[in-house]
Amino acid sequence: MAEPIIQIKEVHKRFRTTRGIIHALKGVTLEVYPGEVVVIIGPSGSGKSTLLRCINRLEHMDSGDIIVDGMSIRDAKNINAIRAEIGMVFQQFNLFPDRTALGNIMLAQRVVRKRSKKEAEEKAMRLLERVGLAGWADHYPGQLSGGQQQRVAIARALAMDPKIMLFDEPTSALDPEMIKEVLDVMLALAKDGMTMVVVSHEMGFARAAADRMVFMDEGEIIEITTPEKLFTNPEHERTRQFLDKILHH
Amino acid sequence: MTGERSEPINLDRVITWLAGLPWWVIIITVLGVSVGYSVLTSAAYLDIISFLADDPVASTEDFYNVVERLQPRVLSGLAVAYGPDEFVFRIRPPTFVNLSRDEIEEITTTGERDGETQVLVEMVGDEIAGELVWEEPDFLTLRLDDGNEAYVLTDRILGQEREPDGCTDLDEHCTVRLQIRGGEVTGVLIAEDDYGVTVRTHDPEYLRLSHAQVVDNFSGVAGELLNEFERVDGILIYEDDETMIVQVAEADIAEVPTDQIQIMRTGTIPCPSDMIPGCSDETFVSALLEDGTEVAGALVDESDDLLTVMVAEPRMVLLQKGDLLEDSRHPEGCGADDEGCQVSLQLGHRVLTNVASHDGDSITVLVTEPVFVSIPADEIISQEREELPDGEVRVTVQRSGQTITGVLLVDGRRNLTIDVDGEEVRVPKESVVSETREPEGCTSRDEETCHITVTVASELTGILSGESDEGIMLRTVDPVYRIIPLSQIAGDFEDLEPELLSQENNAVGTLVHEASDVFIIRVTDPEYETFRRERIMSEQRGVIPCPRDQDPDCEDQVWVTVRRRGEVIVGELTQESERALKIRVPGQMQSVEVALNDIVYEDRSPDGCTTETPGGCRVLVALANDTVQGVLTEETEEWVTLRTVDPEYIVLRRASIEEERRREPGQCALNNLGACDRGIFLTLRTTLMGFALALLMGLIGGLFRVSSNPVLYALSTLYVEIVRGIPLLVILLYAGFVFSVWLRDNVGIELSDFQEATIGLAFGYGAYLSEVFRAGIQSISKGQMEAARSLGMSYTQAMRHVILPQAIRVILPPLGNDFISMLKDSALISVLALPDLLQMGRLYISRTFRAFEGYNTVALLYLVMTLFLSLLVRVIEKRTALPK
Repeated sequence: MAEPIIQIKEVHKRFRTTRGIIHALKGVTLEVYPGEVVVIIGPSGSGKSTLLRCINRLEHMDSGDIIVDGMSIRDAKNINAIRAEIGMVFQQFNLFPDRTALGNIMLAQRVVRKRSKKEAEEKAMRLLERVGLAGWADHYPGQLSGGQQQRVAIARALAMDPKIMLFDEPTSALDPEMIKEVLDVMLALAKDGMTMVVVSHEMGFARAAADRMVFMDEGEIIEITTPEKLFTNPEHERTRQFLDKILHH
Repeated sequence: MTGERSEPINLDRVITWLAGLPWWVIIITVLGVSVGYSVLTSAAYLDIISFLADDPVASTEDFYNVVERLQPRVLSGLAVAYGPDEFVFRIRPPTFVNLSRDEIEEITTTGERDGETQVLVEMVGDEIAGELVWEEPDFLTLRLDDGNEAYVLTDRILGQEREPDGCTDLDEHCTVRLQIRGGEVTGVLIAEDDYGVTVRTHDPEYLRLSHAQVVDNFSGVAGELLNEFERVDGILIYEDDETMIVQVAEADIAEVPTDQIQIMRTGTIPCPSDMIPGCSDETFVSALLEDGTEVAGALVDESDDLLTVMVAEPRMVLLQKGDLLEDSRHPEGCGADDEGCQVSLQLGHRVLTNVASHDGDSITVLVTEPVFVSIPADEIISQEREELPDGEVRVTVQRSGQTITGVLLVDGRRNLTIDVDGEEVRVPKESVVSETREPEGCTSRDEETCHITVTVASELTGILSGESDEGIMLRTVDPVYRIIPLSQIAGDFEDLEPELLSQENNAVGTLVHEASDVFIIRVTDPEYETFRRERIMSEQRGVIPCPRDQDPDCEDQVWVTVRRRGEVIVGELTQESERALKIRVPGQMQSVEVALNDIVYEDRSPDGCTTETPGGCRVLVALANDTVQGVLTEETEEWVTLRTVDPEYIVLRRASIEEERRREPGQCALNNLGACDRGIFLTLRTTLMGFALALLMGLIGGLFRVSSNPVLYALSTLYVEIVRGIPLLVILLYAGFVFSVWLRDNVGIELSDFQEATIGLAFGYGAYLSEVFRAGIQSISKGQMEAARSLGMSYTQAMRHVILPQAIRVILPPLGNDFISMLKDSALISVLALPDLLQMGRLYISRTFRAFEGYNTVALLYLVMTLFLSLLVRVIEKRTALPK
């Protein structure tokens, strides 16, 4: 098998809060291979989002190491260069409200990738078409629905030509009828061979796209397995209990 | 029906709309209208507003310096009284008319005043006859028998006879005999007897001048001034430090033996008792002597057998010593107390014109201008050349040219005398180059007139200054210069022959030099013409020698006459009129204007296009050849520049300047508001500059406040906390009296009051703005920063492109509010002695004690500015709002 594109080694992360120290990640180790789609599930507070945010160093880990594409993010001289290779999609979309859909997609291309205006615009238009929003280029985020905003956010991340895409609960803030349009885009992306790490409870998506499933609880990876195995015959009791709660309610 | 109904609906709508307005709009409108009305209709308020706005003048008049010079002023008349405090002048003597009985038709009394009787005397009519020359509905002109012409108003004509009957001025001969109504004489009846009456037709007019008025340019008596004097000769009769009275015409006094008097009448000449209390009237005497002569005038002396009468009053002039250029006296050094002190005074202001150039120390006066003459080759008959010691060549040219045509009168041995249109012209035979006679071979002795045409050679001598195939150029008159040190000019233009500019009132131009005593003004600006060398068809050059004897380092100038090929201009037609075209030439800022008269060839593309033609209209025009001449100022391989119009300067003494008005570029004026720097302008400028600086400080402070760097955070927090705890007034005083002094002593930078105030305001407001920026940045969700960073942007890039643009939208309203409070707080800068709006208002009030109007206006101006600003902030807020 090929070299893993992401190697997460024994990562620990503690948060200091007013209620004391929360040990969010307790020695997490995970490898993601190029072209793989890994879906991380787990109850809230289990550390899935923290793990994802550690990968592009939006959170600093306390110990352990994460190696992305051969470079350790811990001692990376230019974290910005690594981040440009890792696209991230947020639960709250985080589009820039003062820019149009097109402007959102063009900004980082211009600032980080130093592309010409023409080049950036062409790329942005192609991506908008790809996420099915060709006619919405001149709309501001405030004029778009949640599903549309999230698709613009995906296009914005893709505009940097990332090698890896991280999805942090991309559909949780969406109305149910908009979830599908976002998942369709993600499925298409997965089919195109993008390396994706997705934190999501969309089991339909997981079943259809995931190569491996990771179940986390209390800052630990409980189980790494294939979707079929997870849904039909989970190894651990805690996994079973969790799946029971989200699948049969 | 519909029309009737629609009206009340519209009215309803207006009322509803009015009622729907917010209460504060209504109050502000009512207040604004009433205050605005009272302000704009009140001269006092306008005056204050103008004062608070740095009293701008209307225009800076092209930013030229203007110096106005007035003429010397002289008052003339009879000095009735003069002394250290005041003068009383009889500027108009009374006039008396003697009328004999047989001239008088009727005397009517018209009134009584001051015990004197006013009368209207109608005179007996007259009869005149003469040749009718001219006739108009309201007047006739006759040529009388003695050759004079008489001009008669039609309404004075009582009756007329014409011979031949009914003839007009168009007929060859038309003799007219007119009966004319007599004239009327009005005035004061001063004497009446069997022989006739004496009437004072004009009362004497007196003028009293206080000494101060005389010194101060005869102010207030402008109408009584006589300006015609340039030279005053006469007897000095009064003199003090500033004024002189000179008697320029003697009294004409007649002595009449009483036994020769046939008829005598007397009357009074009233004295100006309102001006000279206790003065006594003079007596007027009019006497007809036995020999038929008449003597009339003021009675000077009276004895049993002799009357002394002043027939003509002496004339005196009052003048200011400041107007004198020259004061010579005979006997030398005599004064007003000496009997018969003859003075000869030169009035006027000396101005040196024809000043060719100047520098700080001296001027060069062109005493004689050089003259250049071009002689075409075909006019040269012969020439003689002589080398001069200084290397120049003197040429004497026999030139054919002048042609004389006329009637031959005398064919003498040496000369021909020719009648040219009634004028006799004598032509030396030796200078005749060719002649033709008509009829051929005729002489002056023939009975028929002998028409002759001769071509005459003329001799011309000059310095060769240019030569080409086409001819030669001679300098026939050399220029003469004088270089005069300015110090000499200051001392009364010694030894020069300045012009007296008595006709011209003022010298207007650009002030180019100003010394303690002398002004040099450029009254004509030089003009230059630059053209391509390739346009030159032919040229002739001459040298204008400089005054090397006076200035050894001087450089000769070159005089050039150029025949130029017409220019070809290609460009876009932008404007077309009946007289000219305007063409925009690519690569040139301004369109070129071409007069249609100068165009010899024109081509348009597309054919016949105009400015209206869509897609533009390209034109090519060729201009006619022309000639330019001037002094060569610059020459390259490609270009030639000539000074076609020389600058003209005049030099005048400061003492001769009556009034001086200057318009300078830096003057506050309506067309130059940038130069206004007091009052409302200072307030606005300090606020704008201070706020710009405060924004910068606030931005930096705000960024530090959200920074993760503890040092920066602590620094900015310290700044914010300290400044927010100190009154702005104290900060301003620190800036003005502590910080600026420290900076001057330790760094050596001197700050102006304005800079101190601006820095103080900015420092104080920077702290508030830091907090505004901090709040603005923190109001942007963390997700924005994360999204930007996840895309690979650095912190700085994310701040600049993502966070700040959003933060500024958020903080715009609080920024606007802070700007408004800064405008108001800028009133505090008056403690640094800066003339801001408030300070100027207080200054005005301290001068006029109009506190009510003064503070009203100050408050109103602040109010207007802040209301306008809050409106502006609101508009900006609306326009930058994101679409939802």
